[in-house]
Amino acid sequence: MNSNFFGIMDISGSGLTAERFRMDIIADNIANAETTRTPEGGPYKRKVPIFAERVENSIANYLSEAKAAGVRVIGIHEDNSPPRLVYDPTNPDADANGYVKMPNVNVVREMVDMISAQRAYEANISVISSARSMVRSALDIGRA
Amino acid sequence: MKGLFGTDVNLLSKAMDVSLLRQQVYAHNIANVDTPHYKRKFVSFEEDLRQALEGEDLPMKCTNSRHIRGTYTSINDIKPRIVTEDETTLRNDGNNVDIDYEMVQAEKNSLRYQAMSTFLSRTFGRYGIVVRNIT
Repeated sequence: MNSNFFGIMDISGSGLTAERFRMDIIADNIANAETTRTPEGGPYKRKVPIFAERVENSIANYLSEAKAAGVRVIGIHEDNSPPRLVYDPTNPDADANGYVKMPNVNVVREMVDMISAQRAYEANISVISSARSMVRSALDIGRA
Repeated sequence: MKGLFGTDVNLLSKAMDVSLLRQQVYAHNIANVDTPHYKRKFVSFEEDLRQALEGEDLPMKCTNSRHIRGTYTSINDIKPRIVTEDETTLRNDGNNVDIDYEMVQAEKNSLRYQAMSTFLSRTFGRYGIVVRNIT
């Protein structure tokens, strides 16, 4: 982790990317909350992004341990919890007993995750703006 | 340190470097607020610096590499260390980043940095006054 201003912005930028990606996934989950047909067959399955700390092994400047810089998304996990069963015999996707397998998406939970992603995004933004004011003040050194 | 600028400039620029590194670590913690099993990191520096500044002994002058060096450590030898706080857990996913704490610390650190840069700027300004008044 070299200490420079752009390093801070890169780190927070990676946070922005990750949170925006999480937001994309949440939007997908909410949009597909009632989807009973997918290319793989069966109802839509809730998706979850997997975040991991981004570790860079650059030349040690201050640290002797592995360098760390930001966050990254290492994959999308499919939630394999059982589908919600809704009794609706008129639905073309209903089984012999009249139950339809609906996606395992809980909209309330997605909304909560959405707010959390939104707040985390804002937190990263405010770190960038505080880094910006630090740059400004550093540039003002020596300016009478 | 001998030279045109005194210890204050040296010390301030060192402290600003550490402040910048610290801001980077806060940014890293905040970026990883939703990473499972992530443990927050922090910069440890001031305690080491204080020990160096209080310096139990005066530096011994060495003109040969085989001379005894004494226990004096120069400010330049003090390096900030990044420590991982892995004893605590804040949430079920093993993450221990308290976002409010990190935000407040980052903001405080940013203000401290600006205070130091203003002070450094004024210090250079005083040198400017001296330089301009030499006849």
